[in-house]
Amino acid sequence: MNSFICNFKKQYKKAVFELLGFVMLLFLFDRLLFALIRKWESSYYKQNTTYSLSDKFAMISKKNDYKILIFGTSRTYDGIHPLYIKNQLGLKSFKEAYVGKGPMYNYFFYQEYKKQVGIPRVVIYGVDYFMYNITTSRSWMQRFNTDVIDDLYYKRGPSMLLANKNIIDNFANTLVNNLQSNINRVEHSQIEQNYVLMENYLGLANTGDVITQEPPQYDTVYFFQYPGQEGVYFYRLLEELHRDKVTVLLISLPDYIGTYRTNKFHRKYLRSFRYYQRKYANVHFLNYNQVEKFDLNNPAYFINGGYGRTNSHLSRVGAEILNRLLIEDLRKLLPENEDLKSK
Amino acid sequence: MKIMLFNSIDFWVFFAVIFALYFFVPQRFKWIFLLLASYFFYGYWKKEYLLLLILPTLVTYAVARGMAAARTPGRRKLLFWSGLTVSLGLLFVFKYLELFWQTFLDLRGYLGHEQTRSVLHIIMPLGISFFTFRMVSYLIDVYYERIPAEKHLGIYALYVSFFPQLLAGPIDRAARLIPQLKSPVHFEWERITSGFRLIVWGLFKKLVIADRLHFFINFLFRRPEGQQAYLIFAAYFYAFQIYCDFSGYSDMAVGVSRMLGFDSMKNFDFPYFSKSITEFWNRWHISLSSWLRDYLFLPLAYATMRRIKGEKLLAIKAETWGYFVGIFLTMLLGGLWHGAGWTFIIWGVLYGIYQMTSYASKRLRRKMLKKTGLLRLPRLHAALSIFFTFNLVSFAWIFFRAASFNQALTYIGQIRLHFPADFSAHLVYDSFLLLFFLIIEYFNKNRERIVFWQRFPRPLKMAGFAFFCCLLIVLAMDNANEFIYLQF
Repeated sequence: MNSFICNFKKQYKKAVFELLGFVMLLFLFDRLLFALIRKWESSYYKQNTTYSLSDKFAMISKKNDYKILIFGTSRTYDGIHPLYIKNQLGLKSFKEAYVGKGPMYNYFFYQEYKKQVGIPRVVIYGVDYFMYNITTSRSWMQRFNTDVIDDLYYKRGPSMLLANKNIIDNFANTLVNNLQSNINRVEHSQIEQNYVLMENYLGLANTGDVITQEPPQYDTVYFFQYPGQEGVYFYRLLEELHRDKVTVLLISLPDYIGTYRTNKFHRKYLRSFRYYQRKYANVHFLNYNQVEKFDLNNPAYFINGGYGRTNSHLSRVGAEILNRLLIEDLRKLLPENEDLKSK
Repeated sequence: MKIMLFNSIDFWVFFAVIFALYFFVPQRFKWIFLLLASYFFYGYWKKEYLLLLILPTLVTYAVARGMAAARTPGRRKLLFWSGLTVSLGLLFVFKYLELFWQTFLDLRGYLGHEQTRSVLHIIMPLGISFFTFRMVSYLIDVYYERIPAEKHLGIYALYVSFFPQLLAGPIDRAARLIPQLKSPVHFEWERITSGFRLIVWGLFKKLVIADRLHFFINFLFRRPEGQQAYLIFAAYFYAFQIYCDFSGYSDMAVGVSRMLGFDSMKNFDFPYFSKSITEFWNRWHISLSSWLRDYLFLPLAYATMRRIKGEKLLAIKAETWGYFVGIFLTMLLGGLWHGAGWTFIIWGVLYGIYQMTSYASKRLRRKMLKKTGLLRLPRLHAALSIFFTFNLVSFAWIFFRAASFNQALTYIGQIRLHFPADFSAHLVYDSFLLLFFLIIEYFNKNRERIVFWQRFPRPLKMAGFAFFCCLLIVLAMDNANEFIYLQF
């Protein structure tokens, strides 16, 4: 104790001075770097046409034909395909599901969609176990009025860089991926941008990335409850769809059995979405993430996932089966099918 | 429970609490405080595995005390071997039993019996290879009377379980660490700041370089088909991934120890600047390689030389035989120490072959250097040697990284000198990051010789460091991976 006090007394002035100086410098550089990145990010997305929404809508011919709007993340992008619905039910769907699109994006997109295409009759919304824990990728949000979005988007904290780390990472990934797609010419972002490519997309083949061996130990995760990151926007969207008299199908897509076991609070998850079914007459919740409905044990039906992985995506074969099930349910739930076609 | 890793929030909260309290704990209770902290750190993962740390600690402590008190050499020897059997036996059961059992089952399968998989599913305790080696070196040093047997059980237990070094080293020797654990610890601002700098640098290596390279490498090792020249880059990148991963961990371990007032041994000394494989092993994982040299290679080499009657055997000098047997077995066992798998054994054997070839071709190489005139161009010679050594090391890493021997062969078989049609932007991004890292690494290596840096005012250095910390936040990967060496 004595030696500590003795040494501390001798050195404390220098220590306190340097520590304070260092913290101030950290604070300064943190703000400076954040401001630079934010400026760069903003100008990048503004200049990059991949993120222009008006270009995307301008491409659509016969806007009245689109009766179904599909929302969701990458799981829905790989799991629900408009082509099957069109072939079986004769209904055209506008699929907006894509990686990094959370409830906030879907809410703002719906506002634009109403203006540019019209009110859909049906919204298919692929819900995920991590639904309330995702933050929409900044790149997608740049499609909307940025002044409003910026305030909603950037978080505040003692370190702006740490508080907005996920936004910075997304931007870095976007830069690398766009560089890759620009040079190789074909990439998924083009599918996202082009509704014709999106309509014909049928998923990816299984490449053996599913972890089929159950390890002795793996981390399990709990369900993030409402509102989480963007749950408020999901609620707002449902309210608006209710007012617009749009039939909403909340779809729980199948997860590989290893992933299913990793996500262990299924009851809470199901309760959370069944609540909306009870609350709104126009909302239906369809749960395909159960062994009784879908063979979750078959790794060929998935392209990834497994024990310790919190989400999995359907393979082309798996998606075909899911779409078959979904179309059967759509037939039951939408007796006014003929009416939909004629409009 | 999760493992308390150096790249996890859990660890830094734990360390902040320990560090805040540590200097206020009276000197005579510091060892209790650190021992409890170390056991908490280990038990945070699995409480029951604490027993596997405490039991061999008690046994080796008692054995060492017994050896010190033994009146006859026979009793002393008996105690020594029993201590070694207990500590190495535990290591064998938890690390290697599964491999040997599966090999036995496979052999039975080849002989016509039904093919079966091992159902032992033994979970290896974290850091077992590291704390076992710490105990073994202590026993050997006490047996050969290089150090006295430690009387204080608490200090010895702390030496075995000291939390910054517990999971993946450095494997500090008792002669170095125990006296430090007994000495009074003073508050030294310079030591604390230099420890902190090392921690930040270690985090940079791990979170920015190793974890970033992981994705490119992982993808190519899993699916090497058609990847052609990318596979060469992935092999080079893996060399840097494992270096940044492990040396990053070591830097953090040394930095944390330093902040608490202890000097750990240096574990890496810019190994990829080595001009030969022997030099590489003097700079790579130094605490293990020097352990292997002192406790395995030298005894094996001397034992071999003693067994050869006369100066030569089969026209080869006894000294050469000693080196060959010593280095081959040391590298083989070194490979096996890293993991219970054939790929690690092959990796070790490769290094054995490298070093034997290097030793045997000394004269020939000297002649070639004279003929080509490279001896008169020392810088070019050094650059070529570094390049050649780095390639040999990177080739060996392919076996180390591959999940199986077949995967390694497939990987090597797919290597071509031209690029596939699809361009990888990740390759460019990773290459830029690596270049940035190499510049800083080169600067660190030559820091003492860079004059302008010596004259830099301290506030400016501090500003540079603060900027570097911010850069670390920007570039760090969010989804951190486990440290590679934790599996060993």
